[in-house]
Amino acid sequence: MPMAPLPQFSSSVKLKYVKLGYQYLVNNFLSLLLLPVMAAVSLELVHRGPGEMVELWESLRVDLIHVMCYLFAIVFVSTVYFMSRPRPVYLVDYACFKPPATCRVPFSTFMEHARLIYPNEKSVRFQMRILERSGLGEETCLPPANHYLPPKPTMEASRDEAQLVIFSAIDDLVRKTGLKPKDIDILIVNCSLFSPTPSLSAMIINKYKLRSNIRSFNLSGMGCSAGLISIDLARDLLQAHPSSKALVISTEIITPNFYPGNERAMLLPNCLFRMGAAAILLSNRRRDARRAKYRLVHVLRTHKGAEDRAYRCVYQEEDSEGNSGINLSKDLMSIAGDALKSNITTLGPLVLPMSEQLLFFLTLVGRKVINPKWKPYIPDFKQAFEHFCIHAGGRAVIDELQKNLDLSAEHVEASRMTLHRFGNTSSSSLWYELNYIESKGRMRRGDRLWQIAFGSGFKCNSAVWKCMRTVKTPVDGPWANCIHRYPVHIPEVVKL
Amino acid sequence: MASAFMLFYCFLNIAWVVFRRWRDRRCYLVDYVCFKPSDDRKISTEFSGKIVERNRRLGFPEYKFLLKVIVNSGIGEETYGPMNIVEGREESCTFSDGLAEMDSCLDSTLDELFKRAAASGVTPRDVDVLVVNVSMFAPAPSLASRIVRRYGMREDVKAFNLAGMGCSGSLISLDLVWNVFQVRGKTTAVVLTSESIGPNWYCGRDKSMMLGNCLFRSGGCAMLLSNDPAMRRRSKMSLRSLVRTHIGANDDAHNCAAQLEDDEGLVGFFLGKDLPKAAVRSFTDNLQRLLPKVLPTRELILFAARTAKQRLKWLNKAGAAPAATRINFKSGIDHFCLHPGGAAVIEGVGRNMGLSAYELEPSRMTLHRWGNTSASSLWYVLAYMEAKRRLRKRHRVLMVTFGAGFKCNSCVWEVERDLDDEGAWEDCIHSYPPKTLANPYFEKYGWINDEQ
Repeated sequence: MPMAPLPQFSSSVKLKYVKLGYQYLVNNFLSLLLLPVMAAVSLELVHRGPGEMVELWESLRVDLIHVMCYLFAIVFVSTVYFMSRPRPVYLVDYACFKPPATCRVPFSTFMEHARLIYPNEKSVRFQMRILERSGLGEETCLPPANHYLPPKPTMEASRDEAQLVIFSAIDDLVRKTGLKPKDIDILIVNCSLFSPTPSLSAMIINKYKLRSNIRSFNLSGMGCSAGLISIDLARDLLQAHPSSKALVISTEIITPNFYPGNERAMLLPNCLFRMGAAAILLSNRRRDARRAKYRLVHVLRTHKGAEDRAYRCVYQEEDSEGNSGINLSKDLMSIAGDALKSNITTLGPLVLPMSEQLLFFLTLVGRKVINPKWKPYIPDFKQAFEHFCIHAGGRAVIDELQKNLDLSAEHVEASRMTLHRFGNTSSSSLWYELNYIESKGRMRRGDRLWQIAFGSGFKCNSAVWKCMRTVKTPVDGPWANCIHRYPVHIPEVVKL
Repeated sequence: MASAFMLFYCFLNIAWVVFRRWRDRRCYLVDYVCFKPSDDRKISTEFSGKIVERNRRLGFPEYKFLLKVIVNSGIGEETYGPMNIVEGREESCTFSDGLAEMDSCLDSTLDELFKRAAASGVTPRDVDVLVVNVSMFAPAPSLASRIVRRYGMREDVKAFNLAGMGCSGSLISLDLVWNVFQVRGKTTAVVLTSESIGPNWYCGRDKSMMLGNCLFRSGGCAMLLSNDPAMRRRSKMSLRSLVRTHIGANDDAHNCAAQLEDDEGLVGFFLGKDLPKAAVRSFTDNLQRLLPKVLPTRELILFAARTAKQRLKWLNKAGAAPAATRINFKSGIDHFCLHPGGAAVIEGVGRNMGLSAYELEPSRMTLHRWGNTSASSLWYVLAYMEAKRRLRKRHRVLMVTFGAGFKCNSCVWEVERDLDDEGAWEDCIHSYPPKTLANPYFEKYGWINDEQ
């Protein structure tokens, strides 16, 4: 009888402890080095005795003036150091739009409407197949205009949807944080596929009577990763202006983007995109540090647009009948993988612990110098982060990232469950995922969070946050009345 | 001795941090290129008349109204429109037409800008920040991504695509770049500003929405900016201050200029009757914040003294309220770049600021030659001043724009060296100013001004 399995098991256990020991050694190298140094110093002290120590002190000929000067110098150097550090950016709180149950689109409604709107049977069957494998649930929501037969993508309806989702999110945020609209210094709105004039930011300034010297920006056309682009811009503005508060609104307006044609690649967004919005309050005031939930550590942007293939993989265009829609190419997954690799190559040295960086460096050197056939070492990002928020772009995106980063099911649970409950809400999905993690009571003080989003262009943006205080399970919010049902098992195919 | 040295070192350190902070507030306009469309895109009054005639929805009252607007607009015979309108397809503009219109502007201006920038050693791969602002057209992927692809920019370029920000979008883009300059080290930025006319043509009968069709024309501008002190010698101007005012909190101001659907569901740009009032209010707010930063203290004190004296006089004698005391803008500003939104806007602002015909000439001539090119129009006004050799070293230039929302943004530049580039005005600067700005078709269509 072969004895192979048992030795394999014991060797893999030994390997696990070796790895743990190695990580502990490298990451705490400096502190471990301190021990022998302190031992040597204390031995020396004991040797010499107190009398010799006093003699040594007096030989330095230190008097009051010298002491004052040195103290003065130390104080000045530390002031200069603190003055020249960039201001920290805190996330005080955020709120997500909770769609009303009247806007729900269960599979049956979606398919019934599809059969009535699309005369082409093939288009209907295609959408059904997509929906079956999409990972979406029965509670995702579409705006009121999309419930009409056929949908009414007018500008007025689009503005109504914008007012509904954005104002609800801001009202929630004001209630949670006690924010006074007059205190907002910076306003950034990102909405990719609806940009009326005057902008959505002007609409918010009008509704909440914001100050006339506000710095407002309206980003558009920047895709599902625009939320992190807004955070990046907010960070730069907060670092340029002391004692300021920034309100960032991330949303996607679905109403004007209904695709009535028959081009398959352009029917996908109809099946996946759903209504959503998030309002985020950022601040650089020291007094907000006490009540802030997170501190922004890094934001990294990667733009692969210089490559033609990447540029064209999410492309808005007109089909042969003149209907406008978003064309998703089949290359999307591989391009997303490439973009992710570029992003984490820059992010790795900033966040990975020394142990992982050393291994990566040694493997790199080994491949170059010793043997090019060595497998490249993919750093273990689970060492750097406790929580992951991967943009819920679609099931395939989450699967791909889980595989690439070697993440467990629990790490991607927030993304999968958000896709199931809310669908692909574009740039606001990261905030629904974060709310899921908080609702599950998993967010502790000191935890590090990584948000990754992909968008048309092709961009991969990521943000790293550090949790400043253990977050209490929220009693309201989008997950409040359904978190107890999650996580759910999402089958590969839901038969319709 | 050692302690004295340490103290000195600490002071040096603090001085360095303060100096670096001050230096990083610099923003140099290294170069800019205004878009000159091809001659086959010119739209004359006669051509405009033909467009109006072929719109089946319009009856005689609308025809009369439109011609009146066109003839009295101050817009000349050589402004440019998008290709689909020139080809007679104004009512059926496709998505690719919209993209082609943008491409013609992006390619032409950025090619020229990078060609000139190569002389300073700046290539597209050196660009750190890219801001694109086109108010009424925001495709996915964004126009910013389109530029990144066309010029092969770096992966870590910070691209921003602003939309919906109206005619004052170029100053908002400048504000964005200036803020990023203050927190990043040596940075190079490219700003592209333009407007999309083709997809936003109004085909209906609402008079307040037809004005946009008459006034807006094709144009654009690409700018190269830097905060590197080494670029100062090569740059044209440096930014001294920028003030943004948003009075959207007032409902009338917010609703006076907006993209709306008319009763038939056709989308057009509505310009309401409250627009001049909103412009005046936002302008006053803006000047109140801007002037203390740019006028010399002597003028501010004199103004305060004059106002106080007038108020006292009014308090002593009963009667009508005193007229507002004039502030002498020319004590701190040498040139005025006013947004050529329309003849009425230029006249109104000029009158309020007490400007002469010479000072208003660049804006009037820009309106005549290029029409209202929305956010990029200021740069044509600036180019006129440069072509006329008016911009000399240490002169100060004030730029003022208005935008839907309602916004008033202004900024003050200081000229770094004597400028003489004719740019987009190259082939016609010598014929400006013309003897008369009156529309040549005034006689032909003049009967429309007669009231019946």
